[in-house]
Order: sequence, then C-alpha cells, then structure tokens
Amino acid sequence: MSTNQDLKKLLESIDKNLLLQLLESLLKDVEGGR
Amino acid sequence: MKRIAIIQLGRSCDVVDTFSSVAGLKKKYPDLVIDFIVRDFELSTAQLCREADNVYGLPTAAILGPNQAKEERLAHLISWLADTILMSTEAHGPYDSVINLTFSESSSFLTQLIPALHRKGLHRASDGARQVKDPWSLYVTSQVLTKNLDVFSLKELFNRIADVDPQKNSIVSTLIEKRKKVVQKNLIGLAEDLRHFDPEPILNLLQKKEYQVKKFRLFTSRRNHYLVAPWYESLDASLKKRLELMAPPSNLDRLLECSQIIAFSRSRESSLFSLMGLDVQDLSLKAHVIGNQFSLDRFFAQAYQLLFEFRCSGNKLETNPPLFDFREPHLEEHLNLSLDAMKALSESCTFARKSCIDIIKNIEDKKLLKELNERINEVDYLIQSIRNSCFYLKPIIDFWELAKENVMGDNLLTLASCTEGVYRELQENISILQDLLKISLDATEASQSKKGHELKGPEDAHLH
Repeated sequence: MSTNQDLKKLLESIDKNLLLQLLESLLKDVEGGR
Repeated sequence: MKRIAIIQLGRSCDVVDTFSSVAGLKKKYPDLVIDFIVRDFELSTAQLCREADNVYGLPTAAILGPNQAKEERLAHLISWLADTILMSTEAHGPYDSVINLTFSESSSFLTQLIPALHRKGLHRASDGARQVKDPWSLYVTSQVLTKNLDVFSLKELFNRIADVDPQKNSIVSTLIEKRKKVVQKNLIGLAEDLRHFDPEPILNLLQKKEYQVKKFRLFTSRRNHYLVAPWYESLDASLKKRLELMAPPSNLDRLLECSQIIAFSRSRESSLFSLMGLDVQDLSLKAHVIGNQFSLDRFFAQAYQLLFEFRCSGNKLETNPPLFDFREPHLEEHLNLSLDAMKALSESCTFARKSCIDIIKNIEDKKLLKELNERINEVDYLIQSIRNSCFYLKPIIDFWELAKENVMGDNLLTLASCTEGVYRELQENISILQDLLKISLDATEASQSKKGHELKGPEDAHLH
C-alpha cells in the first residue's frame, strides 16, 4: 500500500459482510476437504 | 483497454484446463488484460499460463492458519484483497468482467467482492443469496450443483467463447518438456466417485501386453478422495496390491512424476493428461465400453450439448447424429421409458402453462388463484417424480427447476407470466429432444439398411 489514506479508502470500499461470508466459506472448504 | 479477471479455485487439472481459454481470449482480443486468480498452492501451475497478464494466488492456508483468531484471519484476507485485486482496480477502475469458473460457495463470495461491471458464473445477490443470471452459468450450475449427467462442461463452453481448440495450445509443449525431466514411474488412474465401480476389468485390460503395466496408482480429486477411500478399503487385498490409492494431487509436479497415465473416468476430466501428450483417449474409450456406456447415454449427452448450445449461444454444433445399437441390453426398455417420460412432461407443461394463464386472467379472484396455485404445485410434484424415475431427463428437469427458482418479479402478474415462460421453455426443450431422437433413430435405420444388417430393434420405436 502506498499510504495509510489509500489503505483506509480501500478498506472502506470492501463489503464487510461479504468478507465474513468468504472467510466462513473458506473454513467450510477446509472442513469439507477442498 | 478492457480488463477481465478469471477465477479458478479448482485443482491443477482445472487450472491447466483454463489455460487454453485464456490463450484463446488473448489471441482473439490482443489488448485484453487478463488477471488469473487461483489458490496460492496452484500459483506455480497457473504461472505456466503465459497469456495471463497477472496471476494472483489466494493464500487460503495463510488466511486460515492454525491458532488464529477470526480477526487475524479477516485481517489477512483483507490485506491480500487490498494488496492485489483492489490495488489494481483502484488504479484501473473496476474489471469489465469477472468470470468465475468454480462452483464453490467461497468462489461466489470472492467473485462478488471483486469490483466489476459484469459477473459470470456463480456469484451473490446483494442480499447474499446465491445467484446466477446468465443462461450458460444457469445451466452449468444446475449440472454441477445437482451432480447429474456431465453433459456439458463450463470449461468447454469457455473454450468455445474464446474460440480455441484446447488441444492446440502452447502450454502442451511446456508440459511435455517438463514431464521429460521427471522420474519415470508407472501408471496413474484418474478416478472420480468410484464407490460402485469394479476396477478388475480395467486392471486386467491394462495388464495386457499392449500397456505393460504391473502396478497402478489411482488419483482422485481432493473432494472425491473422501468418497473413494472407503471404497478402496473394501477391495480385496490382492486388488489393493495392484492398485495404490494416492492422496489427492495438490500440484502439477506430482502428476508429472508418472510416465503413463490412463484415465478411466469422464474423458473431459482427463484433459490435463491429454494435454501432456499421453494416449488417453483410446483407452478411455475402451474403459467406457467396460463401464457400460450405452448408445442411449451417447445420444442424450450429445442431444443436451446441442440443446444447451442452442439455448445459450444460438450457435449450432456441427455434428452427426449419434447412432443407436439395438443389440444393447435394455435399450428398448430405456428408450420407451424416456419417450413416455417426455410425453408426460410435455403434457404436464401444457397443464401448468394453462394454470399460469388462468392466474393472469383472474388476478383478482383470490379463491381461484389459490386453486390454480395448488394445481401448479401438483404439476411440479409430477415433474419431480418423472425426474426421479427417468435418469436421462434429469438434466433438462434440473434446468427447468433452476430457472423456476430464479423467477423474479415484484407482482403476481409478472411472476405468473415468467413462470408460464419457464414451463414453455421446458416444453420446447422436450420437443427439441424428441426431434433429435427421431433424427438419430432415422439415421440408425438408414445406416443399418445401408450395411445390409437386419434391424433387430423395435420397428415401432418412433415418435410420431
């Protein structure tokens, strides 16, 4: 990342709910052996 | 300059399978920037794809590493996303398109998280529900999610979009070169779900002089490994000595260790092996014969391919109609069952369509609407029972089911008219199938009379 401001801007643009769901489903993949 | 991202979170075979399409897209659109997203342990494989402009590896293991709190995992995920994808979209704007070639839940969330103007393949609606909108993804998803006949592959379709012949690709020479350098070992079998499969005839075939193979290795996909392992354990000890079950391959190098590879599962699953210049096709055909792949299977596989080609792109596949072999056991029985089921399906559709139109005509009459809705439910029940009784019609019914689930509208009028359309499409599909079947039966008859053979099958197996 170039600056903290850039980082902040990028983080704000991410949908937190989707991120959490992605994380959950990655965990499920591991449990399911994928 | 257009930019696209291709998501392939599958294993080596899937990653390599995607190469030819990436190359084809690049050839067709030289200015197109293609970013290729894989899991990080497939990064070295994906980097073999010279036509991809950027290759990103989703670091699953690092994100999920042991003893990490959820916040740490999330931070890791955010940092990866920000450092790779979002940095790129910040600089160049959102991708013109993201194409998800994977069917996992995780890939659908990732697809949604990447800023893009269009999304193809499995992704998410704004409320998080699973969503596919474009017809080819709809069809392919219905196939994969319901695990039915593998009549069409997304990768194959993707190859067609990219206008390439997957066999003619620069990656082939790279792989063959790489393979020459590795230790020569014996054979691998490629397997999918083999729980009900008797390996002995295949092993006997392979041990014959022409193949000179003494010991076999059986590779499965990671997901199927858990299904295959109990099957393997149940085999006789003598068989187990000849056949070694390998842990799922996680990278290309492990597969490249083998000097000879024989695939006896679905031929398109073995495309990695054919890419490596190995003689897969010949043997898989023989294996198919052993595996009782009948001409009716071939007919439906090809008929669905044609049908969905037509539905998805409007193109016509140039192909000869598959011929039937009336000497096959149970062919007549299965053919008649399929014909009856098609007729019943078509009649059910007529009934359901009429009920939908009645709903539109009587939109104010709540009592009647309730009745009509019940009638449609009864039809659906009937369609489901046909689905369960006729193996060959499953894919077409799955397609209908998925389309019906995806009917959207904010009022009853729209819902009823869209639903009528869904039944109409199913009915049209059946009609196309019936026409194709007639063509194949006629072609079989013509071919047999040409050869002077006596037609042993049912003289009356016609549709009209």
